[in-house]
Amino acid sequence: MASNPLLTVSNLSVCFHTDEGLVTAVDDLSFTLEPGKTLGIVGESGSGKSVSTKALMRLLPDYAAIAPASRILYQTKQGAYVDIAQLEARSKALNQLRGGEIAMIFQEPSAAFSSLYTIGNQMMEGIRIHRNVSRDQARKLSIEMLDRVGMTNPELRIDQYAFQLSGGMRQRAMIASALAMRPAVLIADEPTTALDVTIQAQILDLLKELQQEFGMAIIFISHDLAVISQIANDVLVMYLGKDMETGPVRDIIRTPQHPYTQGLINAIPRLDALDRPLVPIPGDIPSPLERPAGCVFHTRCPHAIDTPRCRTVVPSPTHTQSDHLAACHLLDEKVLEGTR
Amino acid sequence: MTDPIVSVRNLKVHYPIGGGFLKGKPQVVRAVDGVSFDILPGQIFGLVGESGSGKTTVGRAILKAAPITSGDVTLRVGAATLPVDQLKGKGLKALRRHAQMIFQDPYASLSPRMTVRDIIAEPLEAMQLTRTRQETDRRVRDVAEKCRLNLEHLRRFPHAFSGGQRQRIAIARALVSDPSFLIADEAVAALDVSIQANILNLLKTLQQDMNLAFMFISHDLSVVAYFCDVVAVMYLGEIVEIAPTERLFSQPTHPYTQALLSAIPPLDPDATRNRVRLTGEIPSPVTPPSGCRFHTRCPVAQTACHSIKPEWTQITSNHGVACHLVADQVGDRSEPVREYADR
Amino acid sequence: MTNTEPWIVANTVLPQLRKEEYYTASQWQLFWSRFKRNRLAALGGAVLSLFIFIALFAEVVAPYTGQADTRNTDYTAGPPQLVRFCDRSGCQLWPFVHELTSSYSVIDKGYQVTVVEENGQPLRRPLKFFIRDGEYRLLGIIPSNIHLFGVEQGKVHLFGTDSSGLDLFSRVMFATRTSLTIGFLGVMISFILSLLIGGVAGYLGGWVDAAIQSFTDLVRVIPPIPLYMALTAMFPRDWSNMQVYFAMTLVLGLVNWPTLARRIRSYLLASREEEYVQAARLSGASGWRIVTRHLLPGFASYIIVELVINFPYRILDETALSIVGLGLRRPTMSWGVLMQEMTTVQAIQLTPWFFIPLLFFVVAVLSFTLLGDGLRDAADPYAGIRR
Repeated sequence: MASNPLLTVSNLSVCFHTDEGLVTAVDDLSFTLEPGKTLGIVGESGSGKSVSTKALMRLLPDYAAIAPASRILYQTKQGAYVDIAQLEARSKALNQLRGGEIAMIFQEPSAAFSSLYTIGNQMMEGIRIHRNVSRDQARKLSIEMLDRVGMTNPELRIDQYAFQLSGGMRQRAMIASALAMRPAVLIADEPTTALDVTIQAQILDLLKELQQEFGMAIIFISHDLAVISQIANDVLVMYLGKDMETGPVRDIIRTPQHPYTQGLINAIPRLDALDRPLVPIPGDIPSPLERPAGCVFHTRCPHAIDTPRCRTVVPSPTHTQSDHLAACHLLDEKVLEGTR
Repeated sequence: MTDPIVSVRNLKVHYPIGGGFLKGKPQVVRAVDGVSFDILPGQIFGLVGESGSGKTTVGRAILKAAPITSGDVTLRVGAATLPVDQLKGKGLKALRRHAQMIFQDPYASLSPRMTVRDIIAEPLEAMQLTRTRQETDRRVRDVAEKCRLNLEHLRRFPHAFSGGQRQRIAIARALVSDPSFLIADEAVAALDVSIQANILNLLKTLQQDMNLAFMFISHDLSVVAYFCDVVAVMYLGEIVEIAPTERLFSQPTHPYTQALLSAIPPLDPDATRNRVRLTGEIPSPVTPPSGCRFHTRCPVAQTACHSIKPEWTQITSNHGVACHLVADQVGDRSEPVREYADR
Repeated sequence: MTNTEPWIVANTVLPQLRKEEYYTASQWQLFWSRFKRNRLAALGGAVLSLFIFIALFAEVVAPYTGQADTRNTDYTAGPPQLVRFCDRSGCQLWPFVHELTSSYSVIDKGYQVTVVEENGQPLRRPLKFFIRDGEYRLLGIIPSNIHLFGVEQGKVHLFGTDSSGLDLFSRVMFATRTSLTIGFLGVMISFILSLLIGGVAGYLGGWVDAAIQSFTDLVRVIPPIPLYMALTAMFPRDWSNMQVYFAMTLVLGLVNWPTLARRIRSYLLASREEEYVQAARLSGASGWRIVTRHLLPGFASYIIVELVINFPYRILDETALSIVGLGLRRPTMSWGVLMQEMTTVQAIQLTPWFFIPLLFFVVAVLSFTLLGDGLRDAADPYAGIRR
C-alpha cells in the first residue's frame, strides 16, 4: 500500500438545517487520496458526492454543519499536517489551502468566472494571492497556462470575458485558472457533464495530460461511471451520503461486490452489449428526509428482503481484497465463510 | 411497405435574433436547415446530435411549437393526413390530440400549483375530449396505472415526487389523450442512472402495448442505441446520416458519426478503441460553414468539402448519408469503430 | 464508526400523517407554513394589523375628533400627560391624569405647564374606558359616541397638544387612517394599471410589447419629484379636502405604475417560456386557459408580495409631498401634514412631542418592509423544496 496519503478523510459527516428538518448529506465517510492519483467519486443525486468535496475546501453554506468527529487530514506542500475540518472558518490557513493547495473546477464554468472581470484579471489575481510574483510575471504565467490547456490565441483570450467563450473553452479556462496556482489536489465536480461528448473527450484527455505534467492528485466527481472509468485509478461509490464501495477502478467495474454498484452497472446502457436488457434498480432514491435506517440501500436492495439485519444495523466497510472495500452485510457473511 | 406516420420534407426553421424595434436588421439563426425523414407507425426514431445541432427544434416544429419557415411536415391520423405546417384551429386540436411531447426536465414541466390528477387531466379538459368528470377521472386513473403511478398519490402536488416519479406523471399526461405519435425530448437526460433505466423500460413497454410511434431526441448515444429502431444524426441543422440502429453503430459512415461514437466513454477502462478525435467546437448556426458544414472539424476533409454541399446518398435502402467520401468509404467499411460490433 | 451523535439521531423519519399533509399541501399552504416561521415578518404583520385596526376605528380609538372645535385653549403646545397611579397626595388603583394648563412665558421664551390644584391637591382626572363622549359616525356611516378611553371632565392628551391646542393623539389616529388609505388606493390604482399594461405586453410580446415598453420607459424617465410637484400644483386651491385626497391617490397611482408593470411583464415573458406552460400549450390549452389556470395561480402570491413591498413607498411619497406643502393640507390629518408642523426649530427645542407622528410613520414603513420581505421569501416557490 502507498506510504503517505496526501489526504485522509475519516468519519466525515455533514448535515444541513433545512425548512423540512435536519438532513444528513454525508454520513461517516472515509477515504484516502494518494499523491498524483485520481480518485473517482460516483453517485446519483443526493449521494453527497458534491457536498463531501465541498467540505474538503470548507465551501459549505452556513446552514451546513460538519460533525465534530470528522477528520480531514491533509499534508501540505511543506510536509506539515493540517486537519481541515478543525480550521477556523475565514482563517488565513484556510485561504492558503483554497486554491494554493486544493483547487476546484465545476460543472458550470460561468459560475466560477465573474462576468465583470476578464479571465486574465481573475487568473492573475489568484496567482498573485498564492505566489509571490509581479503583475507582468503573473500575466505571462496566465498566458502560458491558457496555452497549455489548448486555448487558441491565449494572448487574445486572456483579455476576454468568460461569457465570450464557448462552453468547452470556458471549461479549459477554468482548468487553466485552477492549475495556475499549482495545487497538489484538483477537485473536479462534474466538469464534463454540461459538455457534448466530443468536447467531453477532449477535456478528459486534457486532464490526464495535465496530471502527468503537474503531478497533482485529482478527485473526479461524476454521476457517469463510464466517464469515471476513463480517468480514475480508484473509485468510491456513494449512495445517500454513505460510501458503498471503494477500490481500484477495474475491480469496481468488473467485479463489483456491493449490490448497489452491481445494480448501477446493470442499469447503464452499454454500446458493447446492446442485447442485454437494462435492469433498473427497483424503487426510487428515498428523499433525504426519509433516510432508511440500517443499510441505507436496503429499501432498493434485491438481497435485503428477508434480512432484518440490513434494516436495522449499519454495515461497516469490509475488505474483500486488500484494497477493495464494500459496506454490505452479505459480504460479512461471505468473508466469514471464506475464513472458516 | 407501410405508409409513414410522420413525414418531414426539407424542413427549415430560421429564427431572427438581436433585431427588433429600431434595433437594426436581425441576424438569422438557421436552427434547422433542410431536414427530411420519415417515421413509420410503431417505430422508434432516434434523433441525436450535440447541443446546437437543432434536434430539439425539429421536434418542436413537428408539433408546431416552433415556427416552420419552409418545408412540409405531415402527420397521418388513420386515413387522414394533417399538413402540420398549415394547421390552424380545429386541425391544430387534432394534432395536439394525436401527437404529444415529453419534456426533459420533470421539475420544470409540471405546473407546481396543480395536483397530479389535474396535471394528467389537462389535455382532456383543455381540449374537451371527455364529456363528464367521471369519464375524465376514469381515463386519468387508467393511464396513471399504466405508467405505474400510485393512484393514492393523485391528490398530491408535484413537490411530493422525485424526478423519476415526476417523469412518469409527465408521460401519463402525454398519453392520456391516446396519441399515436410521441416525441421524447431528452426525456431521461435529467434522471439518475438507476431511474433512467426504469423510465426507458416503461417507455418501451408502453410503446409496444399502445403501438406508438416515437421520436426520441437525445444527446446520449448509448441510450439511443438501446432504445431506438432507426437513428438520425444531426449536425448544425442538417441530418448527416440515417440508418437502422444496429447498422449505424456497427458501420458508421459519416466521419461525424464515427467521431461521435468514438467519443463515448466505454464502461471498461481497458476497452481498446481507435479514437477519432475531433478538434474545435460546433460552429455558430448564424454563420454556418460553406460546403459540407462539418468540414471545419472533419479529420478527413478534402478540398471539395470546403465549397460543395455533399449530396444525400443511399448506401442501402435504409442507410443514407451526406458525405463526399461515401463512395470511397463503402469499400473499406469504417474500420475505426469496429469493436462496437464485436463483443 | 458509530453515529451516536445526537444531531444524527435527531434526524428521525417524519410521522406518516404529517408527510401526507405536506405532499397534498397546495402552494398557498406551503407559502403560509414558510411565512409563519419568519418571526420578524410576523412581528411586522402584527404591528400592521394594529395600524389597520386604528385606521378602521380611528373615531373609537381617538378621544376627540382632532378638529378645531375640540381645541383645548388652556393647554396649547402642551406636553404629553402622564398616566399616573400616584402623585404627591397618595396612590390609587385606578389610573388618572392631572389637569394641566400651559401658557407661553415671554421671559423664559417657553411654555409653562402648571398643574391645576383643587383644595391644595393636584386635580385628578380618572381615565374612563369605553366612555360616552363626542358624537361621531364610524367610517362616516355608523353613528356612535363610544370612545376607547377618555375623561369625564377636562381633557386627556396622551401625546400632548399641538400649537393650537388640538389633541395630538387623536390627530395621529386620524392621520394613520388617511396615510394608510391613500397608500392603499395609490397602490391599487397603480396595480390595476400595471396589471393591464404589463399583462398585455408580457402575454402578447412582439411589437405590442415593444411599443408598450417604449411608452413605459417614457413615463419612467421623468423624475418623480418634479412630476409629483407639477401634478399636485395643478390641484385648484378651492378644492375640498376630499377632492385633494382622491386626486392625490390618483397621482400616486399614475406616477408609479411603470415599475410594477415592467415586473409583471418580465414575469409573464419568463413564465411563457417555462416548460410547464409549453406543456400546457401542447396539451391544447387556449391562451386564456394558460393565463388563468397556469400563470395566474403562480402569479398571485408574487403580486401580493409586490404590492406589500410597494406600499411603504406610496406612504413615503404622500408624506414627502405633504411635508413640503404640495400634498394634503390642514385641516386634513395625515402623517405628512402632522410632520409638517415639526419642521421648525421651535419644535425641536420646545415641543419634541410633535415628533410622535414621525415615530408612527417609521414603525409603519419598517413593518411593511419586514412583512414584504417575509412574504417574498415565503413566496419563492422552490425555497426548501428539493430540486
